[in-house]
Amino acid sequence: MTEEEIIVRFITSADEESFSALFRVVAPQILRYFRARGCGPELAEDLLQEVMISVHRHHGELRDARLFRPWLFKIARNAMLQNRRHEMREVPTIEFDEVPADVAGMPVDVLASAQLQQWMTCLTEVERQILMLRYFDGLEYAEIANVLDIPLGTVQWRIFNAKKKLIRLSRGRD
Amino acid sequence: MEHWISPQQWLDFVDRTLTPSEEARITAHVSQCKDCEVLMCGLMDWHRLLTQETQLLRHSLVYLDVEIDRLLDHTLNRIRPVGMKSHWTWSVLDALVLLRCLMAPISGPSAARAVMAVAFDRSGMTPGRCLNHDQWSQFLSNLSEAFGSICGLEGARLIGHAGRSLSIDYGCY
Repeated sequence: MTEEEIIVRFITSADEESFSALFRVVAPQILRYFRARGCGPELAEDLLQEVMISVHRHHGELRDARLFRPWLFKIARNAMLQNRRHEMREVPTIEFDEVPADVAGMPVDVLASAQLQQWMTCLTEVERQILMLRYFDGLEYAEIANVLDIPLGTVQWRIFNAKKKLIRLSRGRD
Repeated sequence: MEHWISPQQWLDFVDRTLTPSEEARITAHVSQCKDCEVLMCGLMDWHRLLTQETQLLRHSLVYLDVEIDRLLDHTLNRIRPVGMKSHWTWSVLDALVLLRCLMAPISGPSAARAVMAVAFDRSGMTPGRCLNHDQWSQFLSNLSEAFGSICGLEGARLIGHAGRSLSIDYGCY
């Protein structure tokens, strides 16, 4: 059964069997999504469970199987942002000087790959998010627009702009 | 020379999703325009580098079936206790009872009943008729507003969140 068929089956029946089949297909993608953005293994597993419980709970809101992937990644993104906000809320209880640098200055996307991290430092947060969704998670431009709630043209413009920045960066180093 | 290639066309060119005629048109322009040739080489290089690097990162994050099955078991165990093992959704009636039970200890039973009645009235809901997702959302927003007028913003948020978190089996109630 293809991924598409598994999604359609889940949307139409949403029983334990179809949920399990869906979980086996999407869980590795979502775990990688979290891990590539700096979440530790345990946090990634916790967030995955939150995402899949949310998918199960709200499956009735999804009518079109083609919208499943952006919907799923939007839930994952919200879960991660909520977790980061929660972590940040705990920071004021510590003296500012005592806050470890990696927590105090933690960007939204803390990338696991050193090479990628180096390249991404010259980009804005939105550009980083868009490039990661496109190249790492393999989303189409329209799906990225849906995940981030921005127009399709903006996604394309941002990717183009980000690549131009990277070109300038590489020329500067040459 | 005029640089007429749009960002979208550049991306489609690099992704190789253009039609053959469009691709040929761009290739012809690039062969005559030094600026566009430099840009194209840069875009293609970065497309290749980003693809390679993200692929390496993806391959370094491999999950075994046994790990995924362990996580699936944990997730199913968290889903089952909330009473969705057999049918996975709430009937409209059950959801209404739940929301009223949630409001009653905060506002008192009479106020909860009155708030419910106001929300019913504003949403044009009649017992015995079938509901759809939009009507349920409208009802929740009216209920949240009515409850908020008695118990404040936090109370309104609580009821709104609780209502939206339920997976409803839409039908007659």
